[in-house]
Amino acid sequence: MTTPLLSVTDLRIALQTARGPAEAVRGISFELNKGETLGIVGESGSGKSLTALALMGLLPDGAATAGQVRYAGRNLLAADEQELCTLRGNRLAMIFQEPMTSLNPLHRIGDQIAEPLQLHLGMSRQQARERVIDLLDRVGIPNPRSRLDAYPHQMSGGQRQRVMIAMALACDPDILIADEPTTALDVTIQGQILDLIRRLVDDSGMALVLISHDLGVIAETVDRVLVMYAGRAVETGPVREVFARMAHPYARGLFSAMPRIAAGQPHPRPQLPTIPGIVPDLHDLPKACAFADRCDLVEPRCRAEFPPAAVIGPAHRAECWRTDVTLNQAMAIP
Amino acid sequence: MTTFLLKRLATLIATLLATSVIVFLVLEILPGDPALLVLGIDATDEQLAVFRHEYGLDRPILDRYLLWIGNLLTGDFGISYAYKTPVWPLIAERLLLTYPLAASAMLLTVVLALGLGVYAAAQHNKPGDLIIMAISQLGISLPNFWFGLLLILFFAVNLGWFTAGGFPGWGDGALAAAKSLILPSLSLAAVQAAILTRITRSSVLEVLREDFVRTARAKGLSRQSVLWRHVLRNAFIPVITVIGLQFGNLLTGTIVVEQVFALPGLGRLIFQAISNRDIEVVKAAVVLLAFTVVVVNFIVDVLYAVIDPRLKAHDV
Repeated sequence: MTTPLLSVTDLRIALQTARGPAEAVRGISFELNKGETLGIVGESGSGKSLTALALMGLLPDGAATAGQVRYAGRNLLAADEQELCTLRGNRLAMIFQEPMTSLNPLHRIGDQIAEPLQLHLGMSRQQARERVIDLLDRVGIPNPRSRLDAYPHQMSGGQRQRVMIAMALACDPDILIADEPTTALDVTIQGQILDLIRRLVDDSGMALVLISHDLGVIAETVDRVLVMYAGRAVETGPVREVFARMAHPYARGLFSAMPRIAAGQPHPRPQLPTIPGIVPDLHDLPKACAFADRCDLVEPRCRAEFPPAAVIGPAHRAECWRTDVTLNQAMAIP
Repeated sequence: MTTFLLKRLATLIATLLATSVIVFLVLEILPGDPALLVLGIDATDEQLAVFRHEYGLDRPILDRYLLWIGNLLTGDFGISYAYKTPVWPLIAERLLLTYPLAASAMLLTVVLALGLGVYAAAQHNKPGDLIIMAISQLGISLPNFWFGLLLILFFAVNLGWFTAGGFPGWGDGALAAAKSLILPSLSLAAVQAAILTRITRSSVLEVLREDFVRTARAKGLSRQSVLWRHVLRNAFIPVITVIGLQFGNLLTGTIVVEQVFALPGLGRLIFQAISNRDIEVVKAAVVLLAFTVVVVNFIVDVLYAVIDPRLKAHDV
């Protein structure tokens, strides 16, 4: 068996808050092989972005971590800043949610994309410029040569996200981490950017970690999915299997709450189901299953004992006591 | 860029014109008759009339403003009532002290504040930051004349490193002249540097929280490189605004500090001219100070556009 490119074992992240440390990620494990794509889905506050930042070593100051993030034979959580700097933007690259604010407004985009090339590959300014033109072309910016000297404010949101992607691809990373890359964009642009990411992943053989709150985006883009709730991976598995047999009540709730358009549906449409309640406060999590207070299938055991990972399929797991019930229920698809 | 510059230049001229009107009117309203002050209360009505006629005081206000501004534009600053000599040489001589004093105080302010402010931000909530914040809090509350007196007491009286005041003039060697400006510059700069340190610190901290800083870190830049390449230029935009405003404060601050250090500068001249109701000198000196402040702020505006490409785009 080959060793995976990245393996995360029992990752825990505690943040400093006014009310003391709070564990926001509570034991996440997954593996990522070369060229594989993984989606992490969950509500805001579920810990998905923190998980991504932990992979890059970019957690906020004062965050405490436990567990392991193994990449190329070392534990990134224990790596020093200098070592992380040689990996970031080079072997591990990341793109963010807000293309409008993620670029430095005072620097030309050509220079911003050239930075990792000069830093990690030791290119001269001139070599880097030529490479930047290629990169801009790859991410679908028309007339890349003429756009080199543009400032971010002279570009649209979609174009800026393309610039961010070009920057992330600069050094041909092993892993691309995309944290809600399309959330801030118009729907039409969202599709284009996702297509671009998918194509680039296929072409380059890099692995992808895509973070989104949008199940539709996940379903279309990745091979494997990890559903996060209150810092735990409540359901994981190959995307087809998970969507075919959703086992965790939270994942099922997310799925039902997704609006969809199909022929033959009644008009006006019935109201979209929602998950009752709110994400629990990290300081005040239920003792056992964190979803217990919002779940309609809750039974005393759910509040007393932490649910084990129920085996749903060969690589499909769900942390729930009631999978026997959920798997026999039809999905509430509006 | 050209359009931007032209627009700013038009604003500059309009501001200067408005300033001249305000200065002229304020000094007109000021109580006290220059003729009486110069000739004394024993002067006869004829003598007073002759004086008023000689200096054009008997003409309508609009005429006098136009005459004054017209002369000003040709470099004629009028005749001092008190010294009975042209105003310009009186002022020019003192500018050779006051401009270098204000400029060195400004330089001191900027160097101290940028260094300490950026350092404090980089050391956020660590001992270095806390010490700098405590010192700057103290600095803000210092009255500059009092701080000047302390400096004199310590460096001139006790240590004897500097003279307690006075100015040897530039003729006897620039070094001695520059040396006599060190303590006054320091006492002028202290408060402004304390203010600017805090503004620099908070501006850098604010930029450090921006998304593009995280992007820069995700590229693999070290914290220090991110600070130099991505943070400082962004953080300096508000800092430069404040520097422009502070230059005005420094210039007016010279009025007090020149008294404390017995420096024959423009500030002292204005102070004396006000006491003597030497209106022509006051008018010319105040307009000149206003001119300097407006020009410095014009330079600040141009610097904005150099630093921030978005400004050029919005203005053109």
